[in-house]
Amino acid sequence: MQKLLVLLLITFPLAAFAAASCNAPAAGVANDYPTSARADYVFACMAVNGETHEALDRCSCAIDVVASILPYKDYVSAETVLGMQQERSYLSMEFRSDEAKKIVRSLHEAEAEGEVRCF
Amino acid sequence: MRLRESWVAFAALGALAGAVIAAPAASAQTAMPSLSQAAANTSNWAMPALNYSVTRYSPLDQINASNAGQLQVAWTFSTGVLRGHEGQPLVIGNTMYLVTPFPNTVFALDLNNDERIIWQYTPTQNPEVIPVMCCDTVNRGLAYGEGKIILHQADNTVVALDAETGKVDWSTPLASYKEGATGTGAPLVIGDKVFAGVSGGEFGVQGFMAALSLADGHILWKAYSEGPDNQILFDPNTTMSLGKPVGADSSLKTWKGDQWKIGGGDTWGWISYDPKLNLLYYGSGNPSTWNPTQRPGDNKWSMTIFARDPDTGVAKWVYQMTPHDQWDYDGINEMILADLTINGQQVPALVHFDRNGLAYVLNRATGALIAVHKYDPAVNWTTGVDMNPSSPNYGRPAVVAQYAPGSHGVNVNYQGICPAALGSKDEQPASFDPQTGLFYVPTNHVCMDYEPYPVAYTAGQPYVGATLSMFPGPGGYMGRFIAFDPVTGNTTWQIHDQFSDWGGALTTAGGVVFYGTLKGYLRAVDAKTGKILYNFKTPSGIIGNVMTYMHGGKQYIAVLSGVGGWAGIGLAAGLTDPHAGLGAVGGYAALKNYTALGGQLTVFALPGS
Repeated sequence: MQKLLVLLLITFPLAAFAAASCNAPAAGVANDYPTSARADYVFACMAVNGETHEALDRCSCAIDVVASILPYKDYVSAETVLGMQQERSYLSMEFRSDEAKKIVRSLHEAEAEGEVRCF
Repeated sequence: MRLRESWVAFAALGALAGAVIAAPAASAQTAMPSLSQAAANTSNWAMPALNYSVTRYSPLDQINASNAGQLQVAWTFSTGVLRGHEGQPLVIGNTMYLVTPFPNTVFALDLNNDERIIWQYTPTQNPEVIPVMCCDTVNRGLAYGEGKIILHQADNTVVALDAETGKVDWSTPLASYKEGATGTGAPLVIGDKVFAGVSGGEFGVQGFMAALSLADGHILWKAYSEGPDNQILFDPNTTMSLGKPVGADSSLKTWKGDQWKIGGGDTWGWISYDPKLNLLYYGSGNPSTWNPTQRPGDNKWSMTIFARDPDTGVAKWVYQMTPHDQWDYDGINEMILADLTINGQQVPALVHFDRNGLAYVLNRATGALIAVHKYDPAVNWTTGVDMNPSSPNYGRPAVVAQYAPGSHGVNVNYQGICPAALGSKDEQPASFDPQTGLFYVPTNHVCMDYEPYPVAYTAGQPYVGATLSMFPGPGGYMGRFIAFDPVTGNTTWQIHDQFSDWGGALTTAGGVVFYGTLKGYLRAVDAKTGKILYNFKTPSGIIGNVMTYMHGGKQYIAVLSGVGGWAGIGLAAGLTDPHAGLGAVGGYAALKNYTALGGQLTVFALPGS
């Protein structure tokens, strides 16, 4: 009995949190993102939202949602545009074009979905 | 896979700027070789472009078209520095040397001991130099000579470090960053001399090539790109251009008043050398200001290929590719020295893929023009170069007024110019494979709208004067990696990439050509067919140049990746409103810090020992 109570105390808050806020797709639904790409996103997301278990869950959920919507190759394109926009060089100019903005838009839409479903 | 990181040593650097951090000596070092000994050993990569001919062709052939698909990551090294990682490491014997973007930390890695850091050196440089660097805080690599590692710092100081200990041997400033002069180009060692140029065309810096003593760093000569003959080191009677002596004041006559003093023509690209002819080759960049109507004339010798005597600096021949530049098509790209068979004859050629979209073939002994072809069919600012020696326009490009920003004055928006100002190719070096006789060229297939406006000059301030926007060329892609014959103008094969191909190419005797993409993919490609044999995603965009070396009987392929900051991936989940209060502001700061992952060297090899 004592054991069960402890177990409940540990698992209940997590279960409640997951049900309320993390509607991530089931594992394996879309899985063409390398783990390192997901981890990269989660690390940055946790840098913003806190080094907590809650942030870990929400951020993992967010990248899983993004991965279920956007194929990895499109994620890489958008990531390239966003990274190159921070370069201070000529090269960055080709990433400020309307074409480049279109590439980023699909990522933003996927992220917005992650925002709604996970945060 | 082994990981090596620089974090621990880096953390200490704040307090020890300018100091060498050396690990206790573990392996006994043998005496360092001379540059000629080091370069003769095909296991090494002893010069920025592997050899004086700047071919970036390695005779190593363990990795070939049949097995390149099995490549694996052998080890990686985090540089701990953000921003663009151009250039390539050196390998001399059992040591790899590499330099980061500003602050230009130099690492010596022990290839015998799990790539442990033997020493690292971070120069003390004023951070004020950062905003003066027009085009990111890049560094295109180190040079080696007679036991010294030569570093060209961001502040345009050239430093010699003891290759075994990292201790500073000498340090020589070339020009002041306070006036806009910076250093990004890789130096070159020839005999007892070091050669280095200058960046800063956007700041009106009067470009030059400098020769320094390898022994003590004193400046032996400086040859400017524009100015009086005694500054540009021209002999009016013996310095030739297109078969004729240039005559007196060849530069001064092509500038209005003393505009040449702030005329640009900077020399931030690659340097080549022909030991038989004893000639040094390099190109000069754009004339300043960008706004062409403010600087009438041909603006010589900006946008020029120079052949100079490395001992005296005196120019043997020159050829100006883009007289009166109106597009910012710097002429600094590498001069590849290749002996080509043209019409049945062996010709000592110099091949140059210019930013202006034209591939030039010249006789490197005489400067005679042999062939000029567009290497991207999108190029539209010119219909081609006049190849008739008896024409008054011999050697000049025929300019199409519609795409020439100087043709209708300022404050006019010139639309659809190809290539864009960053050129059909920028500094990202091509490679020549003598086995196929082809040149492998990473290119930008990008066009632009360009609107010049008037500016006034202030020392140390950008002297630009044009607004531009860039977009993909015909077909909707921005990168073309091509196998090209500059004598015929034929493209044997091409690979289209979504974004500009800004990483330098490597060819190898194994019949495999390598390059990296802005998305971060390192590619091995069949040199004959263009078939992609291997495609590996490194952690960040690649603007570095692929190199190869042999160690312990194994061939390795190495490339630096690292561009800009971390993508930030939009706003990162949970941070959609930047005005949501202090928490969000803190969040943005945290996101910025996350970019500290920085650049990485990724090294590949075939499986097995």
